[in-house]
Parts: sequence; C-alpha cells; structure tokens
Amino acid sequence: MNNSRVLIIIFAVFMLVTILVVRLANIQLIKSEEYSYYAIQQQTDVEKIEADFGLIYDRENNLLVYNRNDVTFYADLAMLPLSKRELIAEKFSKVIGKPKSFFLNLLKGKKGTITLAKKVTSEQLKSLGNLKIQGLYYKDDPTRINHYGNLASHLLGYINKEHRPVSGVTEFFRKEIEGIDGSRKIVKNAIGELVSIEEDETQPAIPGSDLVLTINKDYQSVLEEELRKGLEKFKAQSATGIIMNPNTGEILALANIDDYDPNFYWQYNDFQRRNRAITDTYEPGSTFKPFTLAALLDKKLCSPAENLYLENGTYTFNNVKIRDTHPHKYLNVSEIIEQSSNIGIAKLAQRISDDEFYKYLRGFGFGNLTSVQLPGEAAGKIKKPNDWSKISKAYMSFGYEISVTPLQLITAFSALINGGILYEPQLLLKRINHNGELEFEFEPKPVRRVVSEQTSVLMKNILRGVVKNGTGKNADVEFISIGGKTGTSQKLVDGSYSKAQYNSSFIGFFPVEDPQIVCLILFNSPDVGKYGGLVAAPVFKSVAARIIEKDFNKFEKYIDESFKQKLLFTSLEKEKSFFDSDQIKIKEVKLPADKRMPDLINCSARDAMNALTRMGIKYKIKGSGIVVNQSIEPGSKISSNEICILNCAEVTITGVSVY
Amino acid sequence: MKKLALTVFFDTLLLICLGLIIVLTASSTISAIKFSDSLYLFNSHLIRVLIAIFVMIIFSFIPYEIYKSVSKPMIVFAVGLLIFTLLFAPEIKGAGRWLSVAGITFQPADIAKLILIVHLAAMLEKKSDYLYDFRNAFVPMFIWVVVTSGLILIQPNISNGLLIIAISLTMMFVGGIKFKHIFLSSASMIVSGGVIAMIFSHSRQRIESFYNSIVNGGDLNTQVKQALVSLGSGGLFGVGIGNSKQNNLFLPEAYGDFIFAILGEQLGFIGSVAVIFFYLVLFIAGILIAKKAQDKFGQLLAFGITFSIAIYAFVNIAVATGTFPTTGLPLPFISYGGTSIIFLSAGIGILINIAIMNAKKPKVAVNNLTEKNSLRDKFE
Repeated sequence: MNNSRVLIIIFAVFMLVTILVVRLANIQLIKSEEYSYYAIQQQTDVEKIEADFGLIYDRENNLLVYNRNDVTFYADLAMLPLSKRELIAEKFSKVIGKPKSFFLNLLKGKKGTITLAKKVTSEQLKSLGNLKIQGLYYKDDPTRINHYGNLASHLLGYINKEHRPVSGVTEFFRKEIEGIDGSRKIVKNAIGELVSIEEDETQPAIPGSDLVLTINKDYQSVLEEELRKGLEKFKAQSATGIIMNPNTGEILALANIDDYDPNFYWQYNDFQRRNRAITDTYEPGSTFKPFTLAALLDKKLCSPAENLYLENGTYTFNNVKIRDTHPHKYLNVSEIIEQSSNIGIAKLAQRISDDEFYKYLRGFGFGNLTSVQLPGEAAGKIKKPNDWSKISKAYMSFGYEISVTPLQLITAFSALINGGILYEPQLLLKRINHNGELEFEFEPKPVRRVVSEQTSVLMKNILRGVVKNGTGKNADVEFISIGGKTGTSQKLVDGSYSKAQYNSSFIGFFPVEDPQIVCLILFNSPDVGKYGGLVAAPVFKSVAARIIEKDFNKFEKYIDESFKQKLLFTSLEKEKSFFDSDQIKIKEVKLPADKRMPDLINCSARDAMNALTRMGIKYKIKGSGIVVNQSIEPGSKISSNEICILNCAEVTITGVSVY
Repeated sequence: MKKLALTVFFDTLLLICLGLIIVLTASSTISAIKFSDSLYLFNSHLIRVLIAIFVMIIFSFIPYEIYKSVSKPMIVFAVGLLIFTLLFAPEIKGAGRWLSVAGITFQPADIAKLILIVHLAAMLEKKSDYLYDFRNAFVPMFIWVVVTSGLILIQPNISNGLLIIAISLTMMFVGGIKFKHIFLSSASMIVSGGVIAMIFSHSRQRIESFYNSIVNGGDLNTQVKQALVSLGSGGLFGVGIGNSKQNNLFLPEAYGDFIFAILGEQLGFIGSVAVIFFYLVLFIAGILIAKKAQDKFGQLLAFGITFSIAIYAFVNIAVATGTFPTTGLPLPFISYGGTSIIFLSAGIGILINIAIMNAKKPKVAVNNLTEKNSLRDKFE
C-alpha cells in the first residue's frame, strides 16, 4: 500500500465530507426557515368546521326547520383501486337508485377527485355498509330541511347551495342563526389525504341559535289551505293572507299563494319565492275607508248617526265622476261604511284638512316600513299634501292614489280595533342559543297612539255592522262576532285603472268585543267574481271558523252558549287528526340547577349528549335520533360513577329522518 | 488492534440500529397505505438486519487469507451471475437488477462488488513485483473491472457501475499501479462512459435535470426538492424521532435512497453531522486496519472495503443534499434496501477479521510490509 497515495485518498474523502457539512449547514441552518415554511405549507391545512344552523320552531314548539346529517361521497381516482370500482358502482346504484352505468362512468378516470354522490342520508349511509376502500371517503354535508315543505315558506326562507341564508327569518336573523364556524389544523399527506388532526389547535364551531317564531303552525296551514282553495275557486292570479294578534303585533300566520318549497327552492320562479305580503304594494280600495272615517271620528268631524246625501250613485266632484256600485239617496255614516259608499266617504273626507288627513295616514304607518323581521320590505307610497291634486283627498279616502303592502294594511287595521295603538309587527317569540340560554324574548313594541280609545270602540261597532248588515255578510260566522271591511280595487295596469282586473280583499277581526285575531285576505285578479265581499269574505269566514275549532280553548269564552255543544262535537272529531304522526315536538333540554338528572325524553340525542357532557354525567347512547328512554330517573341525584344509558329511536316521517 | 476491531463492530452496529429507527419512522405511512400494516416494511428490514449481523459475526471468524486462493473462481462466478441477471432478471422500473433465489431477492451487483474488491486485492498482491507493467499488471486487472462494471452498467445500473469503477481504480492507485495507466484508462472511460450515460434515457434525464438545476438555478426534481424541504425543516435539532411529516408520501423513497433526508428532518443538523461523523470513524478505523494489516492482500482488501462503504455513504448524502445528481444508491447500513445490508455486513466481517489477524502477529507483518513497500518504491 502506497502511503502517500492513501493520504491523497484520505484527503479527498475529507474534502468531500467538508463539502457535505457546509452544504448541510446551508440547508439545515441558513435556509431552514424557508424550507420549514414550505414544509408547513404542504404538510398542513386549516380546515373549516361549519357551524350548524339554528333550528326554527313555531310558537307551539313544533319543529319547522332542522338540519339533516347528510354526507357527500368523494372518490380520489388516483388512489381508488380499479378492481373495486365495479363493487362501488353496484352498491351506490342499489342504495341511491341511479343506474350502475352512471357511477361507472363517474369512476372512469385515473386522476383527480370526483363527487360521487351528494347529500347521502344517514339511512342510505347505513345501507351502504362498511365501504372501507382506499380513495373513497365522505364529508359531512348537512341539508337544511323545511319539515312541512311549502308551509310558511315565505316566512322561513332557506339556505342555498352556497350555504348562505336566503329570504325569510333565515336571512333576517342570519347572524344569529349561522353560528360561528370553527377550524382545525390537519396534517395531510402528499395526495391530500388527512393523516391526523392537531387537536390542540382545533377551534370548535359554535352552532347558531334556535328561533321560536310567533307563528302558529295550525293557523298557518289553515290559512294556506283556504287561500289555495280560494285561488282555485275564483281563478285568481295569486292570493295573500295574514293573521295577526292585534293587541301585540305578533304575526300568527302569513302566506302567499303561489308559494314554493324551500327544500327545492331552485325549481321555483322569483314570483313564487317572493314574500308578496311585504314586497308588493297595491291600492287597497275600500278596505281603506275605515282609516279615513277613524280620522274624522277622532277629530269629531262627524258622528256615526249623521245622515248624508249620496247623489243617487253618481257624484261629480271637481269635474271627476265618483260612482257607487249600489246607488243610494241617503245613508248615515255607519251605513256608508257598511255599504261601502265611495261618494259618502269622499264627501266626508272634505271636512278634514289635507295636513291633518296626511298626519293620520302617516300615523297609521302608511308610507313607512313596518320594520317587520323579514328582508325586502317595501314602504308603499303616500303622496305629500303639496303634491295632491284637487281630487287626491277624495280618491285617497276610498283607497286610491295610495299604495300599501298587505302587512302595512293589517298592522294599521290592528291599531284601529285594539284601542288605537299601532304596534310593530313581529315574528320572533324567542331566541335560544346552543347552551339553551334565552337570548331574546318577545315583547310588544307599541309605536304610537293613532286614534283615541273611543274612536276605536266606534270603529269596531261600525265594522261589526259591515259584516252583520253590509257588504261583509259572507264573512259572518254564527257563533262568534266578527267585524271587518271588504275591499275591491281596480288594479293599475300600465298607468290606468283596469276594468277587468281587481284586487279583492277582506280584512276582519274577532271577537268584536275583545279582538284576538285580525286577518287579511287578498285575492289578486280573480276571474270568478270580483267583489271582496264575494271572493275574500267567504275565505276569511272559513279561516276564522277553522282557527276557532283548532284553538277552541282560547276562544271558548267568546262563543255563544247555544253553539258550544255543536262545536265541541265537531272539534272532538278533529282531535284525532290533530295528533297525527306529522307532528314532531322535540323538546329542549332543560338543565336543572343542581346536579340532578335532567329529563331528556323526547330531546334530540345531540342535545342530550351536550347536556350530559356539560353536567359531567357519564352516558352511553344506544341508537340515534330522539331519546325515548333514560336509565336514570329525572330529578334523581347522580353519583360520580353512574352511567346513564339513553335509548334513542329514529323518528321517521314519510321517509325523512328527523335528525 | 482489538480496539480497532471493536470500533468497527460497534460503529457499524450503531449505524444499523439508527437505520432501524429511521426506517420505522420513514416507512410507516407507505406501509400502512400499501400493505395496510404500518410495520410491514420495518419487519422485513428487521429480518435482514438480524441476518446481516449474523453474517458479519460469521465472516469476522473466517481467516481472510483463504479468499486469496479462491478469488479467481469467485470472480468468474460473479461475472456468470451478472450475465445470468442480464438475461433472466425481471425488469423493475426499467432495469433488471434483481435476482430471486429461494424467495430471497438480491442484487448480484452487491456480491460482484465485494468479490471484485477481493479479487483486485489478490491480484495486486500477486503482481506486486511488476505493477508498473502495463500488459501484465494493469491490463488483467482492468479487464476484470471493465467486465464486471460493464455488465452492471448495461443492466442498466449506471451509478453502481460507475462507483465500482471508481472504487477499483482507487484500489489500483493505492495498490501501486502507475498513475499514468489509471489516468489514461479513466480518461478514455469517462469519454465512453459519458456516451453510454447519454444513451440510456433515465440516466440522461437525471444528468440533464442536474445540469439544469445548476445552470438555471432551480427546477430540481421532486425527490431532491422534497429532500431539501425535509432536511431544511429539521433545522438545528430536528423535529424529533417519530415526528416526521415528510414521510406522508411527500418524499418518494423516504425509507430507501433518500432516507438521509428523513433522518435530517427528525434529528436536525446535529444528527446529520453525527451520522457523517460515524461514517468517518468507520473510514478512519478501516484505513488504520489496512495500514496495520500483515500482508498486502489484507491491506488492500481492508482499504477496498472501507473505501467502498465510505464512498457509497458520502455519495448518497451528496445526492440527498442536492450536491450530486440523483442516483439510486442506498445509504449503507441505514437504508431499507433489500440485501445490500447483508453484503455490506459481510465486508465489515472481513474487515474485523483482518484487524483480529493483525493483532495475532503484529511485528512480523509490519516489518514485512515496510520491506515490500521500500522494495516497490525502488522499482518506481
């Protein structure tokens, strides 16, 4: 061995080693930060945890809108073994009901991730069985379900495919209902698959608050059914109905027909989806006369018994002819409203000054938003006195040259009969956050006094007369006193009043002595019959009668003794259908103050788990859905080692799982 | 001399154990995905490691002198094996390098390399009196080198072939062959080798991409880029054993040829330098064993084995740090790389035996060696 040559080799090796160490120092010390940043970029991801939207209940705690725990399946074609594709297609086609070729076609490629099946329900997921195949995975994709389909669609709104709340209270209370999205840091591999979750960097999502609305599901369905029937019968273009509590401004029901099913919102046009009760204005016609009269009575400019000459049906006023449908020679003021005389009210209106009249109308809220908790409200239009022509006041007195929304009209009408106070219409009874804490509770919001109490009493009696003796006879229900006013207005078509198209409406209330319910029925362009008294009044009557039947206890005290027996008999029959399987009442969990077992029966499994976790009670859940049985009696004390076993059952309604 | 034997033994053991840990952490993800068992690759590596340690101990007891007499039939056998491989080996990733005997898959190149080192050492000793002679000394040796490495080169296994040539020529250089002969032959081989390298597409691509990376300052291939990210994210102290994230399929061959990058990620700069240091210890100890070997065969055999391990280790690390173009060479004792660890351990066994033999009859050997060296020096 040649020593000097060996030294050369040793020297060369040391050179190489030196180069390597310098190189490593450069990579691992000097450029470490740069490479670390790049490493974090490719190795980890921050994933959003979407917060659950809050649920929506009616005032009776009927669950109206909930989230169904669907999942969406994806397939990573680069990872998915070719041999398994046949099996996957077969299973999916069996469970989801699309042809096998459809799935095979999706699974054709060799690269990329494809969406295999969207919105797979938890039942379908169960029937798919244990599909543990490399490259096949699913993610939570909850579906917003409006349980009763079209019911109250314009009030509830929906969540679109981009997860944005649209229309109704869902949009109005967006911030409250959306909750706060969480996030988690995940470690992923080179092909983007999740390897692990960095638990300590996880920010859990906070679910949105639940809304309890002022609406009553039964009133709502009665209103919708009757409007639908009426629409069919009178061949109208559309219909709107609102039921309110005149004493508080609570909206009990609101419907527009045609409507839409929020679960399939994309299948409907804009007109169907629009809440015309607040977005569309119309000229109210004769239903406006009571407001004119109330202003006059309040200013003591006339008295109900005062007689007026009515020109035999045609009155020329400032070169314009005002006509009555039924000519009269003389009527007193009450009768003018009962018979809905345009001439009479126009003549009376001349007694009040322009400014005074305008002030009253503004007082009733016309021309202003009602501030209802719904998006897209229109303010309607009322001209200022300066812009009035010589005939404006006369026309306005019977509901022309002014445009209102149906909600404005019923809100103002409530003030007319509730003792004279205008209340803001409201939809939200309660808002409860995910911890079960009450965040908001309804309180009536009085806006202002519009007319005196005496005026209100006078108006109630006059409006009772309309139904008893006048144009509103078709609205009369024999067992309870009903008051109201009909309206038939020519529609403005292309700037002139149409002879063929009318808005036929009736606005009524009961019982007259202590109004509990006020209800507006409006038909747009009925083909069969045009007068509000013939078209809208009978619909009002059916709605009123059915509401009283449904809510018999509430109205019992106002009902004529002689009719009670008859009514009781019929409502007992209805009782059966009242508790049909269509109802789901999911209770909220009420946490006891001390550490005692809460009553969890009929609560959702999710809520029950949350509650028990928060209380530190150990539990085992069998099944899923709604708690039907709990092993520890409610109210009993809990020892630290006791385990509560909850038996749950899926409540299935027409193939839809609640939860 | 015992100290050197123990140093080599424990240093090797240290590298092997480190390898086990790194293979475990680097292969778990791919094992879980490919074989649904995160220990699959580790287990197969563990079996080979146990065999390798066993082989190392066995070889350390076999007196190394006996290889001298059988080196010729052995090299003939090795060449036969390479020809057989060329004809019958199944192609994996565009190259036929692997043979399977009784369920054990191995690379004949690994055996051939070891045998060539043995045979060159034997020839250099036998011809030590006329090493200056081109025809009688240089040419016979060079023929074996060309035949063996040529058969490996055309598998194709360019990097292994080139390294075998480099190791052989270094041995011949250290053994006393005239520098002029080595220089001329290697110059002519570089020319022809360059041509050959450009003929095979996968080696050409690698050279081109490396050339590009130097000229255009970037666009390294994914493997090297990910290796640098691994090393870089390790920083000074590393992310810790078992905390590698680059093993989540980001770095191809994370447990094989690029295992040094995962090691550097987990153990940081300190760990990487420590590993280099362990190889350096092995190299120095090997050189000392060679220096103190009692005969020229032992000297050159010890040198050849030591040098080949060091050169494989440092070239592998140079590749992982993007210093050299990408080659398919394992990191000795650490990489999960089939049977190469067994043949490497056999080499270490031989090295230990040389050290033990030196210890038995020290004086004579040293005197003998100095005499011969001075004799040869005179001839030169």
